[in-house]
Amino acid sequence: MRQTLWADGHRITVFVLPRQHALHLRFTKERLQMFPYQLERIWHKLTYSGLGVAPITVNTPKELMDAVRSTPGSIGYVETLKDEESNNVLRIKS
Amino acid sequence: MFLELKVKAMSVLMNKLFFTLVFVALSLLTINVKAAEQDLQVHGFIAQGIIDVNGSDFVNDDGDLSSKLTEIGLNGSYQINDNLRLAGQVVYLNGGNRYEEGIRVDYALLDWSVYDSSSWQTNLYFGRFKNNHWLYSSSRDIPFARPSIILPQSVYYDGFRDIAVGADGVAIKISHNNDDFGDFDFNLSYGTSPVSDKQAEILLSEFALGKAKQDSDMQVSLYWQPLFSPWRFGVSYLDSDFSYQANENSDLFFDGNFSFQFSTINALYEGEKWEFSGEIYQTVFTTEDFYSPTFDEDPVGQGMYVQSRYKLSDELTLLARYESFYNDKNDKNGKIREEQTGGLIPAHFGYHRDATLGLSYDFSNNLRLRFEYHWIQGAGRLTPVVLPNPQINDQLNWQLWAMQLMYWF
Repeated sequence: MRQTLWADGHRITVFVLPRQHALHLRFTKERLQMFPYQLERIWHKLTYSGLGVAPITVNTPKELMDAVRSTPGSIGYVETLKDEESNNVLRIKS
Repeated sequence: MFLELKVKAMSVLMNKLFFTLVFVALSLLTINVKAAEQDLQVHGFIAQGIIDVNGSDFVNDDGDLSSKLTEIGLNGSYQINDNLRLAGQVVYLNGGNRYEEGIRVDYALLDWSVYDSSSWQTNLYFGRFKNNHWLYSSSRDIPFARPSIILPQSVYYDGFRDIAVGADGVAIKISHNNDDFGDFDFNLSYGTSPVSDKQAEILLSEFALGKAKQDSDMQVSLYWQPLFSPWRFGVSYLDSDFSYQANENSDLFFDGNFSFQFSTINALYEGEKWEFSGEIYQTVFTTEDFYSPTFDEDPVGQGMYVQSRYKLSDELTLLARYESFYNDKNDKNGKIREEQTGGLIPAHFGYHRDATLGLSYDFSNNLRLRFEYHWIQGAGRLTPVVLPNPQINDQLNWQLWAMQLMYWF
């Protein structure tokens, strides 16, 4: 989770939803096995003490989708996806 | 390759819900304005509060309600290329007597990502960097990133703030993610901090008219979080040397050397509702000369704090904390020092105890209000440090409450 570069050496840009968004909460707890406030602590430390770059917060799943689509090397999460053609998609389910 | 990387990086295949991760393959030929915009990130914060102290000069000398609880910061981060980044932050602080009022460069550094893989990351920082060694040292000036308005003074002593907050030099951070043992973070830094005349007055005394400077500051720390554990454990060590050159024309003091060693162990527990943290520490503060040409003293101070936070709801968090510290383990109640100085430094300057209750309420994702009350015993963490002021600080027990509104972006 702390990796900042892709295997080919290019930078990873991460987009997330606001910390109180239901999808962010679910993603954090179920995928990362963390609580949103823990992520927030880590990201605040990165952003405000100069140690690194935190993910970019966007307001809605649509904005997140648009941001990922238009940013090379970026990553994010959505619940459902209508248009998969312009993205590389990894579905995670059990 | 991307799929494999992503699975390693962010997923744990254990849930029953459905998610979709999306990403765009990287193309060197892609020209994208948004990507360029994202190379530059700007963030900041503003916090204003009121603070009322009864029985000490912690914030002001007259004991009135004070608005000297202002913290403003603006930072920028610019990604030069995939491995190099420039970052800086300017802050304005006003805490009354706690530290020097004004604008300062909080950090200004070049961050070189030396090595980065899924299990190892190494970064080198050149320039002015923040102290990243104690639990809250890197976020002590960030109102919403620290646990309370006033931090445990025995570790995060505001009198030492400008020296302890960071240094000019070089730092390295090595992180390792181990599939069996969890996450490790190793930090090592070396540098110095400038000591302003005002800072020297806060540290030493208004009668110290010479020049103080920090000669060196070396710090090292190691943190470990077991795999999928809510616990995180850390150890740190600091070794710092200072010197004082007396004013040749007029000075109460003599040339002198100070050295400060500080060792800590800490633990942090982060559950869904409960959060616990604590640090135990020992200081050795050596003074050579300064008071007289033959003075030599190296008292060992010890202390600890334990802190709990409970998330009552998404918006409301409660805080309880207790800390205890004494300057000399052979004189825990300060009585020996009182006798040695003929009553000039009263016994209650030998220790500091603080019981704190507080709450914070989030109006939104980036607007928070905090309130807290401290019951404090002892004057061991008031300024000035070296030559205390017992005239104002004549109370064994004193209290403070503070309220602060903070916004960040």
